[in-house]
Amino acid sequence: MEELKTFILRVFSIIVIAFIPCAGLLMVYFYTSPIIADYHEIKEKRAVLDVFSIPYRKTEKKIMGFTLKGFDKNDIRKVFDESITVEDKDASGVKTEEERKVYKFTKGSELQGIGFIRSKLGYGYNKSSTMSLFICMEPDMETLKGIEVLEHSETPGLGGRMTEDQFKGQFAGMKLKPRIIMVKERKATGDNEFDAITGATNTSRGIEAFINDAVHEFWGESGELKW
Amino acid sequence: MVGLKRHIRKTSKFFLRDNLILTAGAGLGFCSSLAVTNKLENSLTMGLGVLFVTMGSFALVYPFKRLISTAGTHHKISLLMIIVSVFVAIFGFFAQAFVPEIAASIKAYIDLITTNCIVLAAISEGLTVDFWEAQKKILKACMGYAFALVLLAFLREPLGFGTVMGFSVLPEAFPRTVLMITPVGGFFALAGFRLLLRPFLLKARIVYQEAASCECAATATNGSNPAPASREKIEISKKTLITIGLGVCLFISIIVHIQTNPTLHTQFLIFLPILLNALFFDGIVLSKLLGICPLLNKSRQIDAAWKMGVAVIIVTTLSTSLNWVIYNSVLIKGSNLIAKYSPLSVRLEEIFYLTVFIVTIAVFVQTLSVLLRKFARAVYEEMGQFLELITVNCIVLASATFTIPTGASFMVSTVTALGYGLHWLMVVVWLALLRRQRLFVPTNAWDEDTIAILLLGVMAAIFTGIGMISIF
Repeated sequence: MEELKTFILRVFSIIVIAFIPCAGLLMVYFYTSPIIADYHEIKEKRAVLDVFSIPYRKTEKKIMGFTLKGFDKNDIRKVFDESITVEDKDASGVKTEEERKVYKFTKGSELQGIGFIRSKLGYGYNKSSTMSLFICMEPDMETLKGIEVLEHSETPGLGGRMTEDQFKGQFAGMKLKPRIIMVKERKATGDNEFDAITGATNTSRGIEAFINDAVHEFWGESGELKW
Repeated sequence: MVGLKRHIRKTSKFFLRDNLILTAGAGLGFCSSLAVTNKLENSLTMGLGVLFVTMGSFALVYPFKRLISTAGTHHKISLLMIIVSVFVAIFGFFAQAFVPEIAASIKAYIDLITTNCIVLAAISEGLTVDFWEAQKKILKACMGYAFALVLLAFLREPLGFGTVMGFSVLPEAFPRTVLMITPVGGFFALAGFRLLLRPFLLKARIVYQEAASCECAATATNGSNPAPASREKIEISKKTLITIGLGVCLFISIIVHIQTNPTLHTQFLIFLPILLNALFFDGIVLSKLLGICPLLNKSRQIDAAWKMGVAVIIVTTLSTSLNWVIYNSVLIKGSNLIAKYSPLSVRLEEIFYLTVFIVTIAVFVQTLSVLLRKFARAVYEEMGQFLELITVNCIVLASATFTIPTGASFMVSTVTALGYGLHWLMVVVWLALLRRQRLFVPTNAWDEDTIAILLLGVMAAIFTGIGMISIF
């Protein structure tokens, strides 16, 4: 009985003391969550615009010799709304909301490119966490327009270098059929080959498999879709 | 001039004497100091976070000082950790809102401030003295931590990326040492700092040679005394050999025959890479740089290493699966329910996940120890003290926070947690074996820990090398 009493007293005291910071936490959450949501929205839109190489207004500030690069949030939203249409594909199988979206870039009335987001587990060096890529193709669905890395957990400096433009730039104009191939120890020559990151062969191989699988998946699903 | 000199002395004393990372004998808080220091901005954010969390939660806890000091150790630790976790969540939200890019890259380690040893050590030390005195002590401990982080980052970032705070400082032609920004480089940089700073600081009389050095040597010899006894125990009889052989055959035959069952085979193909990855290539100690403080302390004796390792495996695996169930069935469903009725969007799983994980782990460990005391007294007497310590072990929390909020399935998070536990056991036993060899005849706790960190660096290098070989 005595034990039960002390136990209840302890639990009660923990709840009472923890109540004060929890109230603070809720307030902080309500204050910061719009800011965080805003940041993520702008980040996604910027990634989409960058891949389709659509220009938006950038600002440059010079302070003490350093140039700080910024961008105009409202302009990004405006450009995004004007040129990109986001379609919700019908739910086929278990997919997150993010993965059902299809991004279409139209200029005038002409379709310029199609993009989609995929998150997959078990690719790259780190097999136990997800990698998330934005893949974007030409309207013929066989040529890559570019890729953007949205989320990864590779080692910084090795596999983490896949976010650098030098690596990502290789994918523009690559042929997806029959499949893309990673090459190492020589320069990539064919139009479906890309160079591996030095010292991170597993990451490069992961990206190769990722893009091939994701694109094949996408083709399989979009059989019944009309463009 | 004399005044200036004294001023410098005073400042460096403030930062470097009893600095928990760089100069203290029994070091604390290594985990995050190794993991985030590959960029200076990350280090600064982390130092600020630790300072904010410690001061805030101390100010909150201080009025309830008497209540806490009369309660038992376990109650005290759980209470402190719950409050600390709430403050960490607050800091996490601020970081995500105002420095989103940094927060994205060190989010995992911001969460793990909760189990940062420095926070708990500073708070529980502060509870014994009066308020402003304690705040001064906390400031000193946290500033020392931040200072060590900045020092490490100043070595690692220029050498690895060639930049400081994102501005390039080294010429393009200067070779970039990628090793320095990988986990391996963290171990080497820390060990290097500890070794190189020591004679300099001794000479400047900022630190003193520990008087306890002979005592330490005495304990070291004590530690090696039972060695011959345990060596006899290891001697393998024929029976055990046959059993092990049969076990290996069984294991191989299971692996070979698993292909005949297609469902099992596909499951196997998914989970084996994950397990191997967690066990070797992306292990919790050697690649994610967590759980280092208990590793250094428990690897002094092989016996303790084994017991702690087994306890860690059990608690990590079970509490992570429990956490998964609670996260998905209580938090996510609860916030879906709230979303139906309330106009404001409240995602409980984003706000309270840290606190809930901590509560689950604390309750689970407590229940386990009560059950053991009731039904398996002998086991409890062997393992009890290790169980109590595990609540503050970063690995248990890390295996939950690394897998569950990313939306991993139940089996994936459990298998990963099992892999992390096995990895910790492997590293701790390995390190204990290596340390017993007395490679450098250590003279005091300082050098012994430094050598252990160096050894960990070598291990990490080996595993990074293995990870480069493509198996799958």
